Amino acid sequence: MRKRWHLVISVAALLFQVVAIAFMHVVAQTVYANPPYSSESWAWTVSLVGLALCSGISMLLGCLGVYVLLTRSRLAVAMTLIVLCCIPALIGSAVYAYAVLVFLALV
Amino acid sequence: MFGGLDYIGPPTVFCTQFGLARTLALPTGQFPNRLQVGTLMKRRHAILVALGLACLACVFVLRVLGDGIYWNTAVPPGKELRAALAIRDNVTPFQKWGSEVFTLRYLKRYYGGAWYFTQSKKGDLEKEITSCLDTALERYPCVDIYLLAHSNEYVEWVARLPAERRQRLRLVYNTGCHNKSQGPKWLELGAKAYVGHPGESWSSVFYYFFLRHWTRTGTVQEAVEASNHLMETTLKEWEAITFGHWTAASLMENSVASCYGDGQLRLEVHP
Repeated sequence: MRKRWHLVISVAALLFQVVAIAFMHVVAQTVYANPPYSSESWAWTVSLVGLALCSGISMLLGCLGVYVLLTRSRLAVAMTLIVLCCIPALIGSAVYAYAVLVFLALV
Repeated sequence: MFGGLDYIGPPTVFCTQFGLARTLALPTGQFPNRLQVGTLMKRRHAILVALGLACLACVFVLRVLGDGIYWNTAVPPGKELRAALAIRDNVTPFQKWGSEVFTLRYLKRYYGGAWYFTQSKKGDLEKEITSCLDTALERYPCVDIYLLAHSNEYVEWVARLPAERRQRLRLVYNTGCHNKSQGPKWLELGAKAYVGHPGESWSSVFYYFFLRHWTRTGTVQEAVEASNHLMETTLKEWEAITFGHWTAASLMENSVASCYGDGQLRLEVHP
């Protein structure tokens, strides 16, 4: 496993997208379930902070995944994992970042 | 060090081209090291590729998923003279969350007064909403209404308000399916412009573009035309992604928004 850690990063980058999506659903369920578990007042702030964090973590894992694959793996393995795991993570990161900027009405 | 790796094996011949390092030969009797077999890349090239892919992902999202970037996000004059009220009907928690997180900041940024209601059942909050709208109409010369609800009859609620107050209604945008026909009714009540959809529409796609466009630039008619165009582009992308399972033309037929009343209306208000 220790020798394969560079493969784990790219897989973790992809799996992290599930965490990001789950986060949004948890916030939505907490505030808008019937009856709600919590008030709406904090939802906007928490959502934006959460999305910004998800974007940052996703970007970090995606870039790190690409880097270690290109420096530690065979080309065929690297290309496969970059296409299947790292690029989706980077696109996810860009989506969350864009969403934060749009929700802030900055762009 | 070679290509970012600690070289731990016996003497080996390498060549590099375009940042790629390849093992050409291994000493006889040596089992190839994992790091010596296959193709590897130098550190600085790998960093450049990683950052390049991150940039490409951002460009892809801006080009395909979004409507680009509005560089001019200045608030048009007369913010203190206009107010907005939005109503979200009872949909899934995720849809409620998305609607509010997207809408609320725009309303607060571009309107002097902003109210956002989320219903938890059909017909919910009638008293609160009409009372709030009445107050907004009393305090502000121009009040815009955003009806983020499936086929609805909020027009009946507004009709119960005093006629002189309703003259301050300005833009009414309705995401409701088949609610385009309410246009003349809203204009009769006092609204200056009404935007609605004709059939089972993908109004949520339109609304995303419309709110961003209407609050930033141009007239309501321009915002409607630009948002219709962007919605069509998005639906064509979906058509391609689903290999024609969804057809943009039929979706657009039911979704294309129309503007009743004063299409030259702008967000800005001059006293």
